[in-house]
Amino acid sequence: MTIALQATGITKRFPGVLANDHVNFTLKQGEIHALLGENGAGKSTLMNILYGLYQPDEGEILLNGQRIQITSPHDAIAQGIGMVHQHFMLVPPLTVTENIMLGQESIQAGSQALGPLALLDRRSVAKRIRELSQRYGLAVDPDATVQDLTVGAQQRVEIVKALYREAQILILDEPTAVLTPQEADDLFVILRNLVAQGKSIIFITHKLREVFAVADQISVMRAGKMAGSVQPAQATRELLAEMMVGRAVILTIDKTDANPANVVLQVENLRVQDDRRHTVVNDISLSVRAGEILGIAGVQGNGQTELTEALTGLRKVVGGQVTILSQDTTHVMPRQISEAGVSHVPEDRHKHGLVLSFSLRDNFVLCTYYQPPFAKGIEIDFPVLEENARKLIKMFDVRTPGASTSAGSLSGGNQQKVIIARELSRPVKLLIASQPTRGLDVGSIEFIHRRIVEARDQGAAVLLISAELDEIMSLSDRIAVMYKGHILSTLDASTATREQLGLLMAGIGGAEPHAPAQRSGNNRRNGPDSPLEAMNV
Amino acid sequence: MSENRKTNPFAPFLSALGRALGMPALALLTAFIIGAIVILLTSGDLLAAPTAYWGLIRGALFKQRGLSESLVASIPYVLLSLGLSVGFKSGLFNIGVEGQFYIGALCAAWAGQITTGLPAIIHLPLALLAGAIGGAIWAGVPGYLKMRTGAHEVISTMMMNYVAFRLTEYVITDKLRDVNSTTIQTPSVSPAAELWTFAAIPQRLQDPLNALGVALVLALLTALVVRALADRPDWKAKLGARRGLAIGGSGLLAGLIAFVALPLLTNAWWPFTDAYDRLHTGLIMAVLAAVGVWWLMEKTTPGFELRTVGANPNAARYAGMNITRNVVLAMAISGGLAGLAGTIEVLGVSICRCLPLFFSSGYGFDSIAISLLARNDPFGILAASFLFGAMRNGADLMELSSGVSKYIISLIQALALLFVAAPAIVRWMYRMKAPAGEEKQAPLTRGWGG
Amino acid sequence: MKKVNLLLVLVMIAALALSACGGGSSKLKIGLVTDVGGVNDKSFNQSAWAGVEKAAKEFGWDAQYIESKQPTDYEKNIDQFATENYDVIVTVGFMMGDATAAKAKQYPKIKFAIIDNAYFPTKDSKACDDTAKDCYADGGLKNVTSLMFQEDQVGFLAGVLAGGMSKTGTICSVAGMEIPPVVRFVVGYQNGAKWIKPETNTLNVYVPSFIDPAKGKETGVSMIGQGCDVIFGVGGNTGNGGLLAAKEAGLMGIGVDVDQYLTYAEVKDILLTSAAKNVDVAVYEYLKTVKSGAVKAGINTANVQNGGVGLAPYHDMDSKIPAEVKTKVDEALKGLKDGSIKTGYQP
Repeated sequence: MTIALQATGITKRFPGVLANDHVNFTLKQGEIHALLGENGAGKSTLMNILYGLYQPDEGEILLNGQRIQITSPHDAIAQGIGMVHQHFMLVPPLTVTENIMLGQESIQAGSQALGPLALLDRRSVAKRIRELSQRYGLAVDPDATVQDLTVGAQQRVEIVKALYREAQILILDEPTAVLTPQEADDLFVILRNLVAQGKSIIFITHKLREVFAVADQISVMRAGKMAGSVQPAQATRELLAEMMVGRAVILTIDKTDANPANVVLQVENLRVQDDRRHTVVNDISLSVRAGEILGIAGVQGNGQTELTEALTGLRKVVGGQVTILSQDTTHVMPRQISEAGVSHVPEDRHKHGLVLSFSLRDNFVLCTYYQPPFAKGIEIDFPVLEENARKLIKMFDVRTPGASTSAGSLSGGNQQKVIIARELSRPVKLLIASQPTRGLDVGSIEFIHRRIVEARDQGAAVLLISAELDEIMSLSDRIAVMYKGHILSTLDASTATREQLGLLMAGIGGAEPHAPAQRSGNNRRNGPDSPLEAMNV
Repeated sequence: MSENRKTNPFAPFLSALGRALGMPALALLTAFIIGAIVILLTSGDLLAAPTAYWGLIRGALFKQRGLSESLVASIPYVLLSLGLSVGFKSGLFNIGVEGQFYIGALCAAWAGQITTGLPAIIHLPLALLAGAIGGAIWAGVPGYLKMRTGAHEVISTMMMNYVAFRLTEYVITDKLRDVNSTTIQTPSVSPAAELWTFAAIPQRLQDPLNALGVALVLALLTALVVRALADRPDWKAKLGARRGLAIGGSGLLAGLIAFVALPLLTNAWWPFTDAYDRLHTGLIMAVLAAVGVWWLMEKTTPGFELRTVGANPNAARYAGMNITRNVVLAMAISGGLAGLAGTIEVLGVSICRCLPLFFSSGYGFDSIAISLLARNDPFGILAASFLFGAMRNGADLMELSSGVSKYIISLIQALALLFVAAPAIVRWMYRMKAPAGEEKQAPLTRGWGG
Repeated sequence: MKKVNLLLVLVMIAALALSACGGGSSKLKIGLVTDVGGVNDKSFNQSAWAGVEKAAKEFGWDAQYIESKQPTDYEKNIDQFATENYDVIVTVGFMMGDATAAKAKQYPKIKFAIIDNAYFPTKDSKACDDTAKDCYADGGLKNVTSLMFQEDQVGFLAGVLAGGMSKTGTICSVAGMEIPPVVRFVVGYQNGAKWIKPETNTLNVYVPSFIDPAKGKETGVSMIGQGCDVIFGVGGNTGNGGLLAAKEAGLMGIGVDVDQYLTYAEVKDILLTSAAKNVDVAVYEYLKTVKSGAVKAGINTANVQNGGVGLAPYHDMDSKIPAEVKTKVDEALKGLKDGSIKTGYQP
């Protein structure tokens, strides 16, 4: 097999940081090469060098045996290197064709004379898009508007965009982070098609399962260095995790059977609307007992966010009732819910969980700053805050220069630890954890998972909402699957299978009585606003 | 560029200079240098810039009553900028401080003239309070509207400015016009409601009630200082359970000494002998206000809430804070301070101790620049306000002595602000490196989307 | 080279500092403090400064002005001149009465002239309370000369002209703040119009500002709507706004304080005349008495008799004004001069 791209001795320094330390990386023609590593391990720096965003301080890059310099992304594309970013670089109101032409506009024959006013040749571009999508099995409609497409389809547009620009090497940055398991599997089929036709792919991820599903070769980075490169056949998940973290990692959580006690959270017929006044939580009922973890599985955007917000008082409840420890909390302020013993690990740690410009010391008391011992009257006792911060930093292993460091300067994993520390450091009756490990590295995930189980074992009721099926399956005692605002089914975690859950997440199947419920639910969604709809029933 | 850096013999010197002085000081220095160049270019006279700057410095500091007048001009700046900074830190851009300044002045002018029968110990606090409350309400309303209707505070406070100007005009020319005066102004406030000038303190203290008032204030301040000191570890250990006694005792003692001794002492010796010096006790209030704002924002739970709401309102809501209450509170504090600025101008500076027409010109807008220059730090605001006050005051003598238009001062101020807002320019000029861990600053205010 | 330059500058600064401290020139120094209108107000601040400049040039004196931004600056700005050892300080405008009086008492050796403000013993007045019989002689203002104008007389003449020219029979005035000089103009104007045609309808609005042309224009437009076809703009920039309203409606206007045909070119083609107070002349004449040593405290009144007030030339309108109207104006002037006609203004 020929070598498509070879990088040797790549070194890149940033002020105070050695981001890449003599990294060697070899991509063979026609292979899918997974690049694993924790956040901050140097994967992105390496890829940005290959994509021309950074220039290496040392080292050289060989493309098809030729020594090259990649001066800019534009240059990278010209040399046949394309990249699909984690955050798509698409213009939502434009069509797929227009997005793909952007920056490389084709001009209709004969209209060059018009100079800047020359006419765009959409038709031939659309034709070429159809060819490409057929050839590689990428279902993309050139005339669709990007904002109407699903996330998976948008990703396919990004891939077609790279192929349209004649990319021979594709770099995919965390491509599955936004996909459902099924969509991810579809993507893997596409990637297989691509390499079968001679393309080479670099696949950046931190999910071990995917690496085994798709990669031909696996390279692992740690702390700016290449920790090793193995073939999937020779690797185990434990081995890869150890290469990533630098120590042995326990991937499966040891947990005893649940010991459910009294009902802590009782939700009955809950209905919640999103900001555009669409009903997105529709007639949900569930209950969580002390000492058990109820996992809510589901693809992002099926109402989990609004459900969590409604339970924690951040969003208005339209219908139904929420009871926490026999106290009606349906329409109360967030503070009352928090004072009732509810801890909340929010889905978006930057939006809700932390004040990034504040110090850790202050973030640790974000919800309790007004209570003794942190405040005396209206005065905050800062020595006590310092002490509290030191204690939590130690207990929860937050890697930080000190308590006065601003939360924004920490890595994602450490930020999440700060939130977990804060939420678990006060008496917890009910823990609502929403996507608690999203975007984190293996080491942090392990740590946080252990803390959640610990909270359960100490008698807290835990509601875990996650789009990561692995997480749900390894932590939960019971699993509810949420789809389009409904709970399709609640399964016992010990018997539920991955396939079963995956189908439910895609809205297929579900327990018998739920199918009609879903339909009537849909009607109710429009019903109150529209008398016409009501007449059709 | 890099070649240039190597050959420039001044580079090491300049970068050493840059490190030694802080960024605001450098920005200011640079602004003055550019100002000098502009003066040179427009006048064609090598001596014009030194003459002008010497006039500026002399007018601001050294000439008779120069320093006093600079301080007098700084006082409204301090209070208005403090008000703005509370808003900025809470994520609000209270561009309406000028209007709140007017309303404060109007309320104080009204409260000051209702009667001449009250003693100063009641009437002066009353008038001050009236002005502060007036400003607070005037700013609180846009805050409430923002939360209820989404009306952006920049728009609504600016509109409220015009309402304030016209309302003041109407009241001065009609409802509260001084019928004994041919000039259009409100009646003079009662002498008891006047803010004392420093020169008048010995004479004021001869009234036992006034001495009592001063003694009470001093007792309170002493108690607060002792209380703050008592929290230091070494003191804490020594005092133990006698902490309360120490605080109360020292306050009482200070008050007693002040009540007995101050009238006698000031009568015997007092440094402020110039009866025409306009420096007034508003200066003390401005400094106390800066300390108070610092304490409120940095040391208390309401301040913690305000800062959280300002830095990340979503997180504030998540943390159980009441956003509406905090936004209204931030606006009210902001407006209260602005109203106090207007009050002090009426009670302490205006020659009639009343509110005439055209009361202020742009104090509020200058103050936006001051709070930006000081990066909303209360003590930075004290310094920046003095700077602006001194420049405003010194500008006249600069123009008189050199013929350089005093509007050059506005140019210098604008340049200083530009350099503070864009420190990269200054760094480039002085060959400075960006600080390694360039701290992410909290945005001064969030976008216009509300 | 650079070092030499730096040295030179330092020496010059030192020399300058010394000279600033030294003083000792025999030239008189004249300072002028404007009110909030500023020195380029196309009106009486500007006119006063013109008088100061003329005198300074003629007598070889130094002259400077300071513009006031706000009323609390008045005291400070006068003090600025006083502490710089100025010999004569001219303050422009009625609004500066209190500040001028206070500073005149503080600096008895400096000569003050205030335009438009006369001091009378008044109850509760800070400037001159009613224990004094006369503010200047025994009220502590022995160094103050008030330069006053009989605005009612020139206002009367403008009113005669306006009444004679009006086709609708309604004349109006956009006035500034309701202070005595403005009131005198307005009262004279209205009575003049009624003198020529008793049935004339008069409108007036006092806008509480001298620096608000937008509001002046708005006021003018509203009065045009009520049938007014001659607008007297009598209030600095506010009044100018009124003239602009007349210009845009194609009607007639009358300027104030100075010959606005010369200072406010935008409206010159609709200006019948201007009710001029020759502030520059009054200031110049005052400074002449300072020069000769004949300067006296008290009230100097400029009126039609001594030419201190009067209508400006008709300029472009000369041909459009009927002879009988001109005759009536001359008749009124004569009557005012000999006292047979009263303007009807009561202080």
